[in-house]
Amino acid sequence: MICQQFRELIADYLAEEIEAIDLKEFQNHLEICSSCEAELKEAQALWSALEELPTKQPSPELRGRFYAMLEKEKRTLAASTRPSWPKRLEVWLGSWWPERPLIGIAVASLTLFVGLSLGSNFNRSRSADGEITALRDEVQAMNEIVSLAMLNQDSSSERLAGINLSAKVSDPSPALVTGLMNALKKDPNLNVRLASVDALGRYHTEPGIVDLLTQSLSQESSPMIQIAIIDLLIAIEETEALEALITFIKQQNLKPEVKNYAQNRLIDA
Amino acid sequence: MPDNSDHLQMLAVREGDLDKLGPLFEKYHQQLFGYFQRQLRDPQLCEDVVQEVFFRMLKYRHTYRGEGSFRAWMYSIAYNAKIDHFRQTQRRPETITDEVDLLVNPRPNPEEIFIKSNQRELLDLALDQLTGLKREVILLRRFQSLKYLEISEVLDCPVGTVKACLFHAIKDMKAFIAKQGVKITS
Repeated sequence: MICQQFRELIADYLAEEIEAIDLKEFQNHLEICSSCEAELKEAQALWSALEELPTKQPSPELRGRFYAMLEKEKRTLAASTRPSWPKRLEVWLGSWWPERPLIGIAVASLTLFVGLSLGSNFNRSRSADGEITALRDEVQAMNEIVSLAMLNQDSSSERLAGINLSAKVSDPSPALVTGLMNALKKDPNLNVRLASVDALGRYHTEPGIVDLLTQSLSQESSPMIQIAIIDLLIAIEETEALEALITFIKQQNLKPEVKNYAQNRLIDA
Repeated sequence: MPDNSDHLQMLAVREGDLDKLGPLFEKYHQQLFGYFQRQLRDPQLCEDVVQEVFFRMLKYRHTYRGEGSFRAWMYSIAYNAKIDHFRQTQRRPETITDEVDLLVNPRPNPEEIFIKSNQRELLDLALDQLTGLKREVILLRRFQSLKYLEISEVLDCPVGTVKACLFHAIKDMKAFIAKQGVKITS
């Protein structure tokens, strides 16, 4: 190898892209040519010094902007892939029968029961208030059953509709609360999980709900969900919720933007 | 280090699981910021372009074939986003000729060199005086650790051109530094 060939390979050597066959000759030449050795050392010094050039870091806001953009794109995608309403109706009806005959029978039975109750109540000439209360209870029970059934659907838009339906239930059963908590913790769709936070927030006066939410906040990895729970705990304005939030802020390994957000919300509260 | 998980995550994004872009953002947004920072300088502007890169990765996710490396695909988008920025602001496009480049980015004068006598600043100036692909290749190889083959995909040129550009980039930088009478110490 002559000096010119050696010098042409210096860049490949520094970039660790020199061919094995060339490397052997490169090293052999290095041992016998002090001029090329000096040339290589100079290039190596430059190469190493470049690595030491300082690099600035982006601000934490970049992460927030990215996730906001991602959520927007997901909503756009969900809207664009949504089928037409007749198709959705067909799919929705199809999902009830025959795949889930027990739920269908339960709903039909409930509807029949409500109808019979109504008729019976009319025949017995009960007071209007009593009839309305009974009817409301029956409708709520039906809403709860349908909401729970929809939470188990494969389609995320159906699960979302199930959560929205739960808003009509003023006195949730433990089964509905568990269903909503499972959606918050495990649902693969972020929109469903966000909706479940709102839904659970409606029942914050029920025993144990605030505890469940604060536990979920600590275990959660998604900043979007954490922020939604933080907003909820602030909105609840209960000492227990605020204390849980203060404990949360003290946690190690919190994402800086989530921590800052929680601190700012607490200051404003 | 690149790994197959990048490829699998981007395939999932392509198939509609957009949440999989999150881990890729966490892994690469600082590197991309560094890539832009060497040329655009303004941190806010660099963040805007990083955001644009991830937006384009979503928008053009259907173009991801996974035939080359994920990093090469991502840096192709980053390189084009940078070029588009230069076009929009009519500032220092990467493929312009040296003459035009000199007009928009004049060589530093001796006074400037004197003021910026610090070695790091001198290295920054040495990088700044590189033109076109020479600058791009050294940025992608030295600061982003891309392989020759990946760089050739990003810049859409033969590997031989990448090798030649790196050779001339190092040569030009050494000549520039020597001209200032400074010896680089690592």
